[in-house]
Amino acid sequence: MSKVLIIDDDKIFQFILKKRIENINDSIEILTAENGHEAIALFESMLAEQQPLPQDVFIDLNMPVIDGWQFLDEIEKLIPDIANKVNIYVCSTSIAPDDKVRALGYNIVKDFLIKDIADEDLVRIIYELTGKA
Amino acid sequence: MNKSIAGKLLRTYLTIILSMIVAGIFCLYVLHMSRAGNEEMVKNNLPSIDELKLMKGDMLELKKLSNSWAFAPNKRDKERLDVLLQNELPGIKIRLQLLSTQWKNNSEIVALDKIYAQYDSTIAAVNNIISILTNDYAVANEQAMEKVDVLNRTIAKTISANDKQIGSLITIKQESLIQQQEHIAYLMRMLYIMLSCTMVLIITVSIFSLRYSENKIAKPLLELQKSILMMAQGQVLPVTVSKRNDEIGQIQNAISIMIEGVLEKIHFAENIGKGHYDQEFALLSEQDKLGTSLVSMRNNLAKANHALLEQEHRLIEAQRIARIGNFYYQVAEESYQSSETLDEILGIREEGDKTMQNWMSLVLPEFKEQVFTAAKHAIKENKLFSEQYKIHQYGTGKEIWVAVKGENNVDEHGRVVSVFGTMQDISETKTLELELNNSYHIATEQNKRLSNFSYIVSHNLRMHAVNIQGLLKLYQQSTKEKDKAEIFDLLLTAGGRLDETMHHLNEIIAMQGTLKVEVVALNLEKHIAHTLNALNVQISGKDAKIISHVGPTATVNYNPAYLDSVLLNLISNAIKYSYPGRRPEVVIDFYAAGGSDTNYSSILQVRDNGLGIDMKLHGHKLFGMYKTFHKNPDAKGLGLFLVKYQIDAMGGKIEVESEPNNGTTFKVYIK
Repeated sequence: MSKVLIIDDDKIFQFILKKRIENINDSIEILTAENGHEAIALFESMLAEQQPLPQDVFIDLNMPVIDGWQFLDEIEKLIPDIANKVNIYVCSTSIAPDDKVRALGYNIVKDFLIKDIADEDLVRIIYELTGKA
Repeated sequence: MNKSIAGKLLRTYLTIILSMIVAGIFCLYVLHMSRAGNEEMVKNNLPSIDELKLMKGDMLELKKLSNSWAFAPNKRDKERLDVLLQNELPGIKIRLQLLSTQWKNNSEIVALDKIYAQYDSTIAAVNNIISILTNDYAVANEQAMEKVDVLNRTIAKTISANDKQIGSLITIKQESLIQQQEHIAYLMRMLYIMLSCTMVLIITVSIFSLRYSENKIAKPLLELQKSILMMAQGQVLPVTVSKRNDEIGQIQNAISIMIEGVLEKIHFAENIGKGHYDQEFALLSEQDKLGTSLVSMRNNLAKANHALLEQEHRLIEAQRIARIGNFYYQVAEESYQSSETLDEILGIREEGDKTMQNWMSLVLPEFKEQVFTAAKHAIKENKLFSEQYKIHQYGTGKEIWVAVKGENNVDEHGRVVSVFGTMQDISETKTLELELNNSYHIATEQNKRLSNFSYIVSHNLRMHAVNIQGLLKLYQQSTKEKDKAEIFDLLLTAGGRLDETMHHLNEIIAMQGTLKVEVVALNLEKHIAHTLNALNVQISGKDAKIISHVGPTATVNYNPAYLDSVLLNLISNAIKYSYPGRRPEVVIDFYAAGGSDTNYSSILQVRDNGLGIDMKLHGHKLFGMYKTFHKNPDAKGLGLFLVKYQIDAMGGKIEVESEPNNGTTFKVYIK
């Protein structure tokens, strides 16, 4: 079973993305976290219980407690080979080019998506995840 | 007579020659006396004695013959008598008479005259006897016989007296001979003594003469030779003036004058070397070539020196105008030499005070590390030293910006032995530069804020727009009424947030638009009380304990709205982010800003015992816009952004000390 994780403190965005993914494929298990700290805790518990990790992670940059950047640093330390297991998509409303360059500088970041995420991008990502053309 | 050495020597030799002549004359005299004595002895005394002895014998024989013949006349006695009377005795008498003409002793001549008288009477008596006895009959004649007998007795008497007389004369003669011999022997002895004395005299005079030559000629000459040799080797020792009037004295005085001249020239040359060009110098004569050369050299050097001084003067003036000083630092001595301008900049003027330690003590504390590190590096790596730093001018205490450059001089091992360099007073340009930097900093800050603002606008406004758009799309696609109602609720929330964001943006734009903000003296205690009043609900809601140590007279120069905003944000944050289960406690302090930083007069401090902030994680974005650090529904991420902006605008600064779970302290520096 496919599993995705949405990390964003904006509950509205969480709701929208969740609904859009369900509209594409309602068999996908969707997990949410409000900030980097919660997400790290989630990963730690999944590793501890030997549950499968989410294949796709959508993460916002600007969050309280632990923001997107700090999450990327932490998760890389926690799971060094995460790039082979998890596709991390950085999502931001920011159109500042600095953030995009910085995000793509991380090896573990698969892509940088500008909110709202374009339909074709989301569909392609979900299809890649579920294997349907 | 001249007191010359030649004169002295001449006198010495004359003495020797004279003594030799005296000795020679005496010698000749003694030889002459001896020869004369000898001759006298041979020619006169000895023959006289012999004749006297002959006469003595003949007279005795005559006595005997006359006596014997009177008693028994015979032919043989008669013949003998005749020989005696006619040949021998007259011959002796004539010879004696001849010899006696040479005699000098009067008593001898008197004695001889007596002998002659006795001789004559004897001869007459004998002749009388002969004439008596020659008659044939006379023998028988008694009378005649008696007469003869008387005569014979008389003869005997006379001859024995005569014999005595002759004997004594012979004795006298012999004695005089001995006397003469003794006199000659005495003279000979005198000659020996004389010769010995002469030899001793010659030897003594020679020794004294040699001594004199050695002391008075050879030694002084050697001394002079030494002086001349030393001069030939370049050493110059003064020679004393001699009181001697002779040739050596004159030579010594000439050398003394010459050396004095040389010494004077040396002194003159030394003074030229020391840079004393105005010294008087008297030439020894018109022909004093060395002196003339020295004077001309002095004149040329003075001219060159004058030009050099002129150059130096201009250089010093240029340094003074440009406020550039130079220094020469000797590492081993730890001291430096410096130009006037450098002394003016540093304020250190006494030569003894010019040490590196004193120089370094003037460097302001905040620059010490920088200067020491750079100096150490420059000396260790043999690199150019070039630093700008601030000093307290010695004496006045004035703060001055200086630019110091130093170049190393190394020895054969590559070690730095000295540093030559410059120091420029750059206070004027540095102040301008700092002002410029400040302006640049402000401009950069404003630019940053502007881009931050555009970022916020794009981010926040887009965020809400995107959300509303997404919700509308979902609303369109959804078929269930329950979903639609949920989406609609979220749409309302999103709309509300959009409105809130717009308000925030308004607030920020309004603040950023204000360039000049009014600053007035405010009573801090009153403003704190006002703030606490406004936060009454939150304080009582959390049962927070607020402790203010701010006195009733504490005054700050601030914009009233900014002061309220700063107090409200800091105190409300302190209450809001309380540690779960711990009673919030907020302590407010106000005190003078001590230390070296004179940019701020006082500090307002707000300390809480709340959640605290992980400074390592969030320190850099603490005062950013829309940054939140706790999962708190009221956190909007705007408060500290505004606080920072307002404090900056008042010319102050804000510092944070915090530890997660232990609380946070904010320090607001007030100008």
